[in-house]
Amino acid sequence: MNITRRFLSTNSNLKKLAVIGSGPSSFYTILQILKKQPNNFQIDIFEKNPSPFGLVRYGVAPDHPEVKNCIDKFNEISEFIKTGKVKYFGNVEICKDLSLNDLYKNYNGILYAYGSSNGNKVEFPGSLHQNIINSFDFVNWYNGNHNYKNVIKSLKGIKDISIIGAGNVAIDIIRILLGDVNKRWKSTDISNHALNILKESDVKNVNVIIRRGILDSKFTNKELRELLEMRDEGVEFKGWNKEDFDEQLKSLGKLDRVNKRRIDLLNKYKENGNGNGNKGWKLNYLRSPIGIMVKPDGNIKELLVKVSKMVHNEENDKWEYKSDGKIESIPSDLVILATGYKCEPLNEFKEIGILFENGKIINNNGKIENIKNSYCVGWVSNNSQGNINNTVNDSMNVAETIINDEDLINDENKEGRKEIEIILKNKKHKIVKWEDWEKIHSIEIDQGNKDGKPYNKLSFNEMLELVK
Amino acid sequence: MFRTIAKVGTRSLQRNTLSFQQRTFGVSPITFHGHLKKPNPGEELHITFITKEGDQKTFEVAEGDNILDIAQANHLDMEGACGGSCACSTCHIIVDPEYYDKIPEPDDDENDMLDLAFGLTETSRLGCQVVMSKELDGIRVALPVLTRNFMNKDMN
Repeated sequence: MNITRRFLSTNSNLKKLAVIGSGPSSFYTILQILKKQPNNFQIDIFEKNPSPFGLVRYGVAPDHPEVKNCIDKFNEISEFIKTGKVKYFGNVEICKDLSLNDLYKNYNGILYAYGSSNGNKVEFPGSLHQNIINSFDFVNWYNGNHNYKNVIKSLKGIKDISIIGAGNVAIDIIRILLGDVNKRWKSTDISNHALNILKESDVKNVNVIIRRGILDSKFTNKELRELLEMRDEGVEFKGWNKEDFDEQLKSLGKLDRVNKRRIDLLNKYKENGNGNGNKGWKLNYLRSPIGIMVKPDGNIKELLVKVSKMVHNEENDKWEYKSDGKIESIPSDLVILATGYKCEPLNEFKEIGILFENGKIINNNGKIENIKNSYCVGWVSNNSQGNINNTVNDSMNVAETIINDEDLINDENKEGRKEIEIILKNKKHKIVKWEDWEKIHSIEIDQGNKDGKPYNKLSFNEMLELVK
Repeated sequence: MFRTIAKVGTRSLQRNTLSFQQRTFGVSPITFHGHLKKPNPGEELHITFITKEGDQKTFEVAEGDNILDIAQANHLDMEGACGGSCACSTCHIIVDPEYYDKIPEPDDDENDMLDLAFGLTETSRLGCQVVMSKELDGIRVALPVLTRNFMNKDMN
């Protein structure tokens, strides 16, 4: 590209990039590309929901508003929307409303940033019982995605809950289930349907069931500390099976920073526990679900788990899990599977030749190697790993990959949004534009403020009704 | 408190520190943005950032400003995803050992977040939690260099 042309950035010499998804990895990558090369790209965002921000909106817990502060940064996109550098196509699902073929025909590059759409499943006899719920659904329930409004219809008479898995989502769910509704939830952006059910909840005990050991815990110390400090709200930490790790921890001696802090925290709160909390939670390591016991009325009575123990392997000097041969039953009216989120391939991947394995698109630094001008970022590129820190770094790197890809050129035969808008218009498909979203959200804020909340999330149908 | 030392990070800091001493540099004029205060004449404090590219950038700042705000006001690559509320570690900095002990110790919240920082070193801090004071005049901090491969390895 010569210099004169670079300065005269008309529509025809911009690299046209289509981005699928509008969560944090999408926004961070787009903003970084435009920060480095403000005049070389025209970017269109395709989001299947009317509303943007993905898991920041429907994943982050309502009592963590500070984590959602990144939305302030994402809103910087407004400036680029005004100048036409970026266009938001909300309510447009790829492989349904538009085909991948439509995108490849009209754009110079495609960035896959669509993240997770499901939770991992754990299968055991009885795991399809209606009172075994996936954390993905549960999180969407309390976070106001109205498609998941009926995941929990009542928590009356539900006293004991088991959560399988030990990540931050499991900890979020414990806070939701046991936290004081008035103190912790009433003034957040939690969904009103969840709030009403939590007000009448009878949940008293949460057992966390963890297949592996203490040193493999996935939750972070921040989330753990926050939960332990809820003792002041009457939420008691009822301990962990420390004795099962005594030998291992003694033989390992000095631990890494994170594990040392974790164990110190757990011990501190276990020893200081006053035992008076009327609600409590417990960590049960070395337990995997193998079945359920059902009451005569069909509801779950107990979760059955098999017990493992830590055994030192002399040959490789490693600590391994061995079956103990024991089975325990844990009183459970409801079971929640919180074993991570999962990404899935798009329908047309096979046809197009994009390889999807182990929960991610096969890629090298965000470049999808076998298909030209194709990139991926965020959870769909790394099997749903990491938090906002990882996503920021990942997005910076993928932005570099896209900027530096010599194959990505401004092929002038690509019509970009001009052609896409015609396709959607011919289908009479309703597009939610960025201005529409801003209007929707201002209504959410007005409605929420009446309830003493920052905003009340509208259902997708309600949003679409607001759009002309 | 014991911390895992990422050797790569520390070594690059040392190299940067060396080149800092050899190189001559000018103090950049500062543009004041957002909530940064303008230092009173004669009370300017100095901070030098070592960028990911290895460049040195020195600024005159006022007492009470935190390092995240200073970096962002001067358009350095520091994200601050949570807006400086100590809820992420995207403003991770590596402090010159000479100055590290002059900063008040990190609290539990900051330590929880440092747990998640990539390439944690013995002298890592969060930029949003380090506030400029007279004792810190002349402080040098490096922005950690990250590659995607490093990150993936770190995550597993």
